[in-house]
Amino acid sequence: MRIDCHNHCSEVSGRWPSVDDVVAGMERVGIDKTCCSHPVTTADPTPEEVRQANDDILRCMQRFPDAILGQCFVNPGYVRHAQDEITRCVVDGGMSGVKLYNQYRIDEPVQFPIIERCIELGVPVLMHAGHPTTDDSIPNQPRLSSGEHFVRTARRYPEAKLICAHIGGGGDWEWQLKALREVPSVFLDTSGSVIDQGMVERCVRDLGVQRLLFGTDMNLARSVGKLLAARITERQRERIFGLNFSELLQRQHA
Amino acid sequence: MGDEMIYDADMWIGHWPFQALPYCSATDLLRQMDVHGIEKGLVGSLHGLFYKDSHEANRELARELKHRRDRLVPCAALNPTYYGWQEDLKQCCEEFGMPVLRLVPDYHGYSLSDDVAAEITEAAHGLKMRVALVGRIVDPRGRHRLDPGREADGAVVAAFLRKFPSSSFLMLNFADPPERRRWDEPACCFDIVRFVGGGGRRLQTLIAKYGADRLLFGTTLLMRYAKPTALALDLCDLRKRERECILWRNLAALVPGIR
Repeated sequence: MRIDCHNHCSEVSGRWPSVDDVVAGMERVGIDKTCCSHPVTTADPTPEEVRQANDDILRCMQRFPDAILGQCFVNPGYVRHAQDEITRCVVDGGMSGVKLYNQYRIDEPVQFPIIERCIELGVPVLMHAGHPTTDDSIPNQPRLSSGEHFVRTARRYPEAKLICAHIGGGGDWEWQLKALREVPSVFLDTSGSVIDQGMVERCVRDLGVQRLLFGTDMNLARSVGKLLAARITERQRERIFGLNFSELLQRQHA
Repeated sequence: MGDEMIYDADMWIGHWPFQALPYCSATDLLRQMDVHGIEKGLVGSLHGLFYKDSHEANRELARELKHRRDRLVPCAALNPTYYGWQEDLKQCCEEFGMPVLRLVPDYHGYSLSDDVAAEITEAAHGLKMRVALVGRIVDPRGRHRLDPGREADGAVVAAFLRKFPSSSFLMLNFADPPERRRWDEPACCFDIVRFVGGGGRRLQTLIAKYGADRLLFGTTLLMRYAKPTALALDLCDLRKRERECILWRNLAALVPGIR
C-alpha cells in the first residue's frame, strides 16, 4: 500500500495539477491514495479564497473517493473562519487533516488554536517547511517554518501530529534533521525535488523509520525514485511508503 | 531498464566539501551503475573543482580511472584563468584520453562571457574535445554560504553558445523552461536529470516538442540518486529508437570516445 501524504490538485489544471492528471500519475507509479490540498499561496488569503480552495478539494474527493484524501487548508489569521473550515471540511466533509502554508510559522501563537483543534480531532497537521540558506532564497518566504520552529511547537504540544513537509523541498535538509531529532512526536515527509544521495538513509538513521511518511508534492518520479533507490530494508521502505501514514490516519479514528 | 544499453553523461566522483556524500570512489560509482544498469559514463572530479591548480585533479582522475576505462570515461576540468592551461588541456586530451572538457566558471572565478571561456573552448574544439557546460552543481536553495556555485545565467549561456554556431555542446544539469532560447541553439544536448519533475509528464512533453535527439541520460551520480531519472524516463511513452537515443545513442554520437 502506497499512500502519498503530501500532494496538491484541483478540479482544473492551473496553479495546481488537475485531479485527473494526479490520479493518472498515481496509477502509473502504483500509488493507492494521495492526500491533496489546495493551498492559496498569497500572503493573506481571504476566507472566501480559502473556502473556494477547500470546495475544490471536496469536489476532487467526490470524483475519486478511493484515491483522493483531502487536507483542509486554512489561513490561521482568520481565527473564526479557520475553525469553521475545519468543522466544515474535516468533521463534516471527511478530510483527513489540515494543511498550513507559509502565511505564519508553525510556532506563532496564531497557530495554537488550529493545533489544539487538530489534537482534539486526532488529525495530522501538514506544515509547509524548509531551511533556505542563502540571502537570495530567504526573503522569498519570510515566515517559512524551519526545524527549530517545529521544536518549539512540538514541545508545547507533544500530543499533536505535526508533519514537517518535504525534506527535499529545497534548503538545508541536514539542518532540518538536526532539529527534528529533538522532538520525537514530529513526522517528516520525504517529498520534494531534492534527491541528494543518502538523504533517505540519513532520515532513517537520525529520526527512525517510524517517523517518515512518503510524499510527492507533485514530484512523482523523484519522490518514488529516491525511496526505491535508498539503501534501506524492504520493511523500512514499506513503512515509509504507506504503513506509517496509514497508522497515523487510523489512530485519528480510534 | 533491463538489458538496454545506458550511458550516463553526468557523473562525478570524489568528495564535496560542503556535504558528506555516502559514496565517493570509482568503486562506489561502479556499484551504483550496476544497480541501475548503467554501462558507461562520463566522470568528473568533485573536489577537484576547488583545487587552485585544477589540472592536479585531472591527473588524479586519470590515475583513478586508468584501469576502469571500459566503463568510466574521465572528463577534464580546467581553469582558463590559471597559468599554463593550454599545455594542461593538451595533456588531458592526448595523454589522459579525456574526450570532454567540463567548464565550471563559478568554481574557477570567471564568467562564460569572459574571453578566456571562448579561448579554452576554441582550444578544446581544436583538439576534437567536446565541451560541457554545467547548469549548476548543487541546488542553490540549500548551498553552503561559502559555495561559489550559482545557477547558470541563461542569457550569458545563450550569448556564449552563439559564439560557436557550428559546435555541439553537452548541457549538464540545466533546467530551463523550454521556451528559453537555449533549446533553439543548434546541436545542444541536455541531460534529463532536471526534467523529471511534475507529475511525470514534463519529460514526455519535452521529448514530443523538441525530439529525443536533444536529450541525454544523465543522473549526477554520485551526488544524487539515479533512480528518479531512470523512473521518469520509464514513465514516458517512447518508441524504441527514441528511448535508445536518450539512453545512449545521442551521447555516443557526441562523444565517440565513450564507446
